[in-house]
Amino acid sequence: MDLLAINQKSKDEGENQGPSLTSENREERIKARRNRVKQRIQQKKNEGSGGGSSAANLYKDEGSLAKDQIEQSRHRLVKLEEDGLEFVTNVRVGQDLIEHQHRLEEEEATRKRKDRLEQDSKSSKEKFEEIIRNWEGARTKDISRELHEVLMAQKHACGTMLEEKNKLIGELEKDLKNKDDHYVKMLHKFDENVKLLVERMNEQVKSRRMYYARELHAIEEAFVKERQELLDKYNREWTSKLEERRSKEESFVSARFERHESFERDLQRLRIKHAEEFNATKVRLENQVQEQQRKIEEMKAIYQLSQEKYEYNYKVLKKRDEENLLTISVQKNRKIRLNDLLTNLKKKLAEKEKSSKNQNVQAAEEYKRTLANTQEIKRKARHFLSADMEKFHELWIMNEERCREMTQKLLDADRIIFEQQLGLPWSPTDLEFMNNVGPIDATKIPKPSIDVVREILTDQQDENSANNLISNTTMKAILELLCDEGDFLVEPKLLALLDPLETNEKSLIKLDAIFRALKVENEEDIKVMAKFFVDHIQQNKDKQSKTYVSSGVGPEQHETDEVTQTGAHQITDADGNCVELIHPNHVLKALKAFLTDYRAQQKATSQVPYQVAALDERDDSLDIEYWSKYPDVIDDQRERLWDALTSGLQKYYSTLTARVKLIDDNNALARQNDELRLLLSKYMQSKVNQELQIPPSQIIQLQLAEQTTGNNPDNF
Amino acid sequence: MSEVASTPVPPTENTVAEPSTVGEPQQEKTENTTNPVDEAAQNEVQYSMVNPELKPVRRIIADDLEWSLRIVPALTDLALNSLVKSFDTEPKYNELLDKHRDQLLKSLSTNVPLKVTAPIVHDENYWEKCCKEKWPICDIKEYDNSWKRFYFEKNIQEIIENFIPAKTDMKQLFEYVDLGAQYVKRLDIKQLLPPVEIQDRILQNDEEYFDDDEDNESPTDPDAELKKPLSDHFDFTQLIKRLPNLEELHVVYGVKSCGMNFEWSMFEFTKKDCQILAKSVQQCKSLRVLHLHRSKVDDLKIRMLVRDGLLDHPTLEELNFEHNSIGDRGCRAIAKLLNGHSKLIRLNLCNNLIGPQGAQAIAYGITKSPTLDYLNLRLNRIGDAGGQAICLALLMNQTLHELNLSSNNLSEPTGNKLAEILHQNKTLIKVDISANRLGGDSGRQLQENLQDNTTLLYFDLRMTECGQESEYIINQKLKANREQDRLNRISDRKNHGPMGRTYSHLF
Repeated sequence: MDLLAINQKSKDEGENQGPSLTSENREERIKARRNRVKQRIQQKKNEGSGGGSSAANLYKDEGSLAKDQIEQSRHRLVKLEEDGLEFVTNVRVGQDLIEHQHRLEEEEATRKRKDRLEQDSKSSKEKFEEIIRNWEGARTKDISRELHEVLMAQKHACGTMLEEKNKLIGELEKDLKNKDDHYVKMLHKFDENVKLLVERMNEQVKSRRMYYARELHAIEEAFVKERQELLDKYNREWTSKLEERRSKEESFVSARFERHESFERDLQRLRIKHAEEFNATKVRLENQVQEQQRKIEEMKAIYQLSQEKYEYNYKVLKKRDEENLLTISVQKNRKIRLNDLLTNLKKKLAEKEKSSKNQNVQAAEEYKRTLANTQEIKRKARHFLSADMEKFHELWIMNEERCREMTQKLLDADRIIFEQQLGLPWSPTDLEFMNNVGPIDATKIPKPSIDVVREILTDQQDENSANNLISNTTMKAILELLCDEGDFLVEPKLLALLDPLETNEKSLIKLDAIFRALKVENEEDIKVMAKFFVDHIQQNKDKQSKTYVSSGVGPEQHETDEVTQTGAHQITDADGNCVELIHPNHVLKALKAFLTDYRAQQKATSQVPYQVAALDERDDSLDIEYWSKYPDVIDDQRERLWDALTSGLQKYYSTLTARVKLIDDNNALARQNDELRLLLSKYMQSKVNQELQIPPSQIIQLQLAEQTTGNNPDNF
Repeated sequence: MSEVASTPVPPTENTVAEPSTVGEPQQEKTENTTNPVDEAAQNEVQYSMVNPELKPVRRIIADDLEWSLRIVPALTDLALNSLVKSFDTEPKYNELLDKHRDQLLKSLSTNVPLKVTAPIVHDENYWEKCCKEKWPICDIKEYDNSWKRFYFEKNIQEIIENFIPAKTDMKQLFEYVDLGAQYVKRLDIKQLLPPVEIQDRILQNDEEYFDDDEDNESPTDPDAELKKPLSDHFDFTQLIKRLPNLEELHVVYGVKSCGMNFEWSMFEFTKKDCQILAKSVQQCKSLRVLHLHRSKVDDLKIRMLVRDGLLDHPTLEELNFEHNSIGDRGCRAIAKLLNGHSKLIRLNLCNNLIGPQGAQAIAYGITKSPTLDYLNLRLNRIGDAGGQAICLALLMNQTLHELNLSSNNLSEPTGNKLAEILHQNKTLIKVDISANRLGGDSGRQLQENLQDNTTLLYFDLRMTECGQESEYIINQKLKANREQDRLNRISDRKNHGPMGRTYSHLF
């Protein structure tokens, strides 16, 4: 890294030294660019070939002495090392080679020796066999000389064989000795070689040490030299730069002096000019100042005035402001309070609403409940009412019967008294009222319409009902009118059926149908309807003459007039009342009016929920009269008579009773007498009297005799 | 307060004993009461050792104006002093403050029994002191810069190297081993002594065993039976059981610097030894490196070793059988290791008796091995047949970086083959075929084929007679490759960040 840093540095320096890109000279710029391109190529190469070489190359290129020296030294030393190694190992290799050759020779020699030994053994074997064979031959030899010859030959052969063997042994021994010698020689050689090796090593060490020192020295020197060069170079640069600077400073100083002088001149000139201007402006400005001061004084006065005014105003405003603040605060408080109130009220309202809702619900429930209750109560009341009615009826009947019985009894008694006691003829009193059964009802049940109609049509109407404002005849006329005009209300089938009937009968049935359609049920309704028919007439009458306005029950003297005036529709009733009926064409209208009116009325009556036909409403006016009739059967006269009779009879009775008493006493004394007689006889006749010295019977007889002689004995 | 109270207890006043002192010092004092002057002097000397400011003669005199508190030893010093004295019997270390520990260790003697120090003392300075006292030259770079490890490993090595079977007591060794088992990662045993009886016997009848160096199995040998049980070396099984962190084991079954007492039997690697070694290697599950050189390992034994110990070993990475007598059969056994039965990364079979068949077996193993990185077959006899086989195997292999075939009786066919392969193989970095008679044609071919190769960095062609020109050109090419490699490495290092920055690339 240090090396790289150095490279960088030196490179930078090189760039500084070299032609610059920003130079003004064109050629120089071209040069600079070329340099740059070269450097880049160089760099790339260096990167490709590895960092170490790049360093070396860079140094080489830039002519770095030290790096060159290092590279050279390295090469030299590597060579030295390799050479030295080779030099030393040469000994080993040489020895190896010698050993190798020696081995080869040895192999060869052993092979030869083996061959020879084999050969030798073979030949000696042959010879030995021959000798053995010869021994066989020698056995056949009988002649001693021949044998001797053979023996000698054998001995010779053996001798030669031995000799050969000995020779071989000798040779081998010689070989061995040679080998020994060789071994010793080899040892010597090894020793020499080792010595040589050591020597060479030492030499190597020495020389290496020397060379290393030398190279180190050289490198150091190179570094020193390089350093020196660099120093020189920088020094030169330094001095040149210094020189340049000095000259520049000198020129700068001189220029500065010149400028200084010119500026001073200008300054002087300007100073004078400015002084004059200054004086002029000063005078002018002083005048202006005076003027302004005067104005200021004036203004001050005005200000003073206005200030006071404003102050006053300000105070007033402040006061007001304070007041306002106060009021605002008050208002605020109030607002807050009101707000609180509002919220409270709202809350309350909500609560109330809630509670009222609840109440509403409760009330609704309550209402429902009460409705149910009332229904129930009504039902009960109805029930009770009916029960009461029944009870009342029964009670009534019972009372009536009792009264009747009692009356009957009374009458019987009266008759008996009259007939037996007094001996007078008895006339029975009126007993009509006793025929009545059940309570007397004063109310009248309205008659059904059809009956009314029948009555009217057949002229059976009793005169009691004539107190109506419409007379029977008028009614009849009206009904006939209705019968004629109200055909549409009758079913056509019925009309067909009615055809053969009598007119009266026909109209009756027709009217019945019509009334059923109109829901006219009773007499009252009919009357109301009739009114409608008549009313029209009365209205017409109003137009004609005021005299007949009041009613149809007007004075009788005008009746004839009325009949004449109204023409065909004028009907004179039985009483002479004259009523004018409507024109048949108006019948429909009248009916309509009646219906609307009648319906409304009915509705109104039906809206009244329930009307109890209570006992309270019963008309009991006739009751008193009715019941008083029963005690009145026997009047005061008779009563008085009865009283006198009673007193007489009582007297009679008392005498009778006294008589009875006396009779009874008499009877009782008689009976007592009998009994006593009986007893006396009994005593007299009993045996005891005989046994005793003094029999009681005797005594008694004595006593009796005494008694009969003396006084009357006591009653015991 | 206690300090003030203890100040008027000078060592000169013999009657007052230190409260913390125990046993022996007190007894000494009581014995020395007869000679108080000597005792005082002794004490003074002792205290002066602890506190150099302490004056030898020191008495409290009421009017002594020169007396000052400075000459009075601090209570901590006194306490530490007594602790040092009683460290053998009552070690107190972990309870102390750091500064007191340093002070204590400074004054602690190296003669304190290991039993006491090994478990509690971890301070490197103390162990450095111990090491330097024992061995004048110490290089702890190979020992993870740990003095303690160095101390223990060295100690155990020494004990084993001087171990005489059936004579030396195993107890002493195991004491050591138990104390430092967790620190021992490597055992570099440079010699193993034979049993002492055999030594005596050898001394008595040297002639009998003169040329009886290898065939101790032959039934004709009358003393074979007698010799066999006696010639066994150190038994590793017990030792290895006690070393849980052992990673490297270097063994030489031989005697170092025997001088004129040379006997063949001193360099015996018996069958029993082999069995024991195989068994212990099998047991040691953390072992990474096994070196067994100059031990006369022959085919039979290597087969036994591979079969019983190395086959399918979980961690073994490096095997070194330099300077043995392994032949083709043994080589086949080793090749079996390469066939996926181990994770071997480095294999060194330098200076053995491997022939073409063995080399072919190894070549087959190379094609199958996914891990092998380094192969050394220097000084063997594989010949052209073996060389070609190995060259062909390199076509398949993508992991081997270093190959050494020097002095192998190779010639032109192998050279040509190698040239063809170098054209295609992109993994080899270092090849050594020096001291083989390749000839000029091969040289030219190699030169041509190496022009496109950028991965090969070292190629030893000395003594191959392949022509000066070719050799020169090849060297130039290799130099360029090396230069490129250097640049690549520098850029790699730079890419890895400023932490690994060095200036070695400048040289």
